[in-house]
Amino acid sequence: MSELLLRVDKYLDGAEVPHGAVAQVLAFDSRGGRSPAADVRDVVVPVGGNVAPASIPVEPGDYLIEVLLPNGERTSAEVRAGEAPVSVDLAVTHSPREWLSWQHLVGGVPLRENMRPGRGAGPVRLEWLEGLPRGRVGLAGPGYPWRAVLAIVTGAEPAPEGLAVAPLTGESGWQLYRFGAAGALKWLDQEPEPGGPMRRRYLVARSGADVSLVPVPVPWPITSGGAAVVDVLVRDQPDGARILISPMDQYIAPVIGFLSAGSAQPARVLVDHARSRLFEKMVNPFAAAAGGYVLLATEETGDTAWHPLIANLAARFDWLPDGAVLQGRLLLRHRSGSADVHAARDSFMEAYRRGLPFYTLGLQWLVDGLRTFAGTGDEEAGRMLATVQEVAWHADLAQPFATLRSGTG
Amino acid sequence: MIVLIGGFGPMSEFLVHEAQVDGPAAHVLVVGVGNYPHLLGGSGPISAKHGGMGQLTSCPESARAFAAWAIAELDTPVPLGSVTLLLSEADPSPFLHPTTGARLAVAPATADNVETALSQWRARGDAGAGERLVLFFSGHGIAAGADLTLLAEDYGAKPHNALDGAVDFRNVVAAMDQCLAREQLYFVDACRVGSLALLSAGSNNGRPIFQQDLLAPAQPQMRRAPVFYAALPGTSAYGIPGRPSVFTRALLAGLQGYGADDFDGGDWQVTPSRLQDALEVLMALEAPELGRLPVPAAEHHGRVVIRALAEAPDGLTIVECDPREATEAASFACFENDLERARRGPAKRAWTVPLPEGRYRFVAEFADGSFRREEVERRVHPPLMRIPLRVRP
Repeated sequence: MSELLLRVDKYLDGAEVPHGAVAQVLAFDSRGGRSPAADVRDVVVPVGGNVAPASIPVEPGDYLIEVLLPNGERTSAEVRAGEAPVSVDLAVTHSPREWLSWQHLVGGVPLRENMRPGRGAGPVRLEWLEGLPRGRVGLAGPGYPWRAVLAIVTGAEPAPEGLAVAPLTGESGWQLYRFGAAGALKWLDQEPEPGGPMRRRYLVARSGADVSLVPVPVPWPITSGGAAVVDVLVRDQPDGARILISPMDQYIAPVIGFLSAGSAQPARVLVDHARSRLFEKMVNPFAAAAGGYVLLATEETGDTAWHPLIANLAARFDWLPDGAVLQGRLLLRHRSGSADVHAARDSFMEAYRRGLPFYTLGLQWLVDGLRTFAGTGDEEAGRMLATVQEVAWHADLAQPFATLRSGTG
Repeated sequence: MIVLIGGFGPMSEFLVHEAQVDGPAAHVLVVGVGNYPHLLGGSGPISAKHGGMGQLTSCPESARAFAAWAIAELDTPVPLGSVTLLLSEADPSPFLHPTTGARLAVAPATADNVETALSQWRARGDAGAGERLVLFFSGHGIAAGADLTLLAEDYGAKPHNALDGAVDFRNVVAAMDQCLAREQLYFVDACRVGSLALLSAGSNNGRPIFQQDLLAPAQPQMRRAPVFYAALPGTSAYGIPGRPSVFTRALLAGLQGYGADDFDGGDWQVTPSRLQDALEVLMALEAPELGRLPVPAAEHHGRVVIRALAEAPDGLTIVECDPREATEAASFACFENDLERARRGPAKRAWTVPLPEGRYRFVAEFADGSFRREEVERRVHPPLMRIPLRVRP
């Protein structure tokens, strides 16, 4: 056997991402013909400026290595594997600015961005709102958590007072904010008591009359203890301000990047490699929810071992809308009788009561779920659908986290 | 294989191609709408809900091109069983069958016809889990968030219910999970006019077409149903008068081979992820001003072989300089065993060369002396290869 030592050489401002990209290692015979029996598929490749490579055992011979990054970039290299291990450092496009390198990896900055200045309509103002309670409502309640965010996005009512925050760095049209490390954004010092009221936290960006709002997944716990830094990139674009939330979680950030780019299969490869980290201790419900979305999006017949993880996520974190959305969709997809249908309905309605999902896909799937029941004449579901759909019309589908914008998404 | 043409009986309405297939078959529904009597420039009363939308000449051509391609090429891994075609154009003309040469009259893409065609298409899919369904739509779309409404010819005909002339696409895709066919492919070549005003009609996103039956148990097999969107932002960027759209041409090139890989045991197969890549790359090459494709929702994304190829396709080799600004001044050449295969003088964009698999030497030269000559030898492996030539001043 021989050995390939694979890594993607990409400057990440000191960060290292051991599960950052997915490679296909294609084998060729000595005459240049394909030798697919010696291929190695779906290899997880580290990304970073100084990251340790992944060791891939291969038969001696010629290989073409093709790597896909979360930002959609593909790179390739040819290599001949002999007796000694062969180091393969794959070159990729670097970020236009060092301080944007993480966002560049996960897809928040276009691959060939030339950093044009913003539209010059004045700086975007970023505000931090902690004042919106979850506001549990009855089955036929007014949908307060939803109406509250809709009022902010549409400017229908004066918005609650937000706390203006200062950027970590930036330049014309681009501002980077940060939770943790040296950033000015702080999460609550004390987590709520179990069963107590959960306050939703939102970031709101205003630029002229344009408003963007996103629920912030903080704190973002990591399995090694503590919380990951969460970056917030705000761009002032001709059609309004954009907010990109990027947890600097080396195992899950690439999953979220692939997921938001619609690349579900490479996301699945990464989730399968990190499944125990994501689900076993359920340290981070946001990360577990991202894994759940990938598993549901890529589910194959008979692929059911992870189903109990979704039920666990929905039950353990009663403030997380995404867990209930995932559970509802899973129950509906695998229904074998009316009990499953009723349970799915309960899950979607519970998700509604928990408020705006953290992930864009969760918002879309909540609309789908409620629409399914509304279509059968279920008036309760119909009322909830009308509210959620009105919010979902403002969703920016290009963002992984449920970002609402004034105007349509 | 016997090929029957034309409308024969209620289940064959709108067909332009039908083949007897032993076993599961692929059924293709193609809808192209360019004539909108109730939108700007139309022949009828203009709807108050026109939203700035007007007539389209590219969409019927896109639909014709896709239907003709499907009849001529789409036969593996699931043999083609039928192609249904609806076209709305200001000056209707017959559809030329690509293999028989027959000239076939085509029904207009009114909402009633689209609903009927969708129902018949679904019924064909209900023949069994192995059936495959393909839907291609080209025309106007209205989008808000994830909701997408596809406009039929008679959108706006009813002054107080304009959306009766439209289809709630997201509901169609969701409800089709109850169809027995487990492989479904959706291609939407629609300009997505973002319009909260047009969609803010309660929960009415157009005709739902299908309603889910919650009393029916779920299908035992998981569905694979990738959706590909063109969704170009706005009609002015979209239209290529009288020609298939940028998206459709990229789609057909992708289906023909640029969207394939040989990762599965060396067999060449068009797969969703590769096809999406091909669409991104080909559209960016032809129309960089259109920007990135909208993100497809990552759902229903099991592995599916969209098309199996009999042999390796050519690879589209994209040669450019690093730094990119050097590309404009470069003359490129490609050599195979020291024989020149192709050459190109200075031009603004990257050089694209279709090449069969093999080893090639690529050269960049600069007549103006702005950079030094550079060359690199690389293996070209389909479907898409970027060859960066790192040049120095």
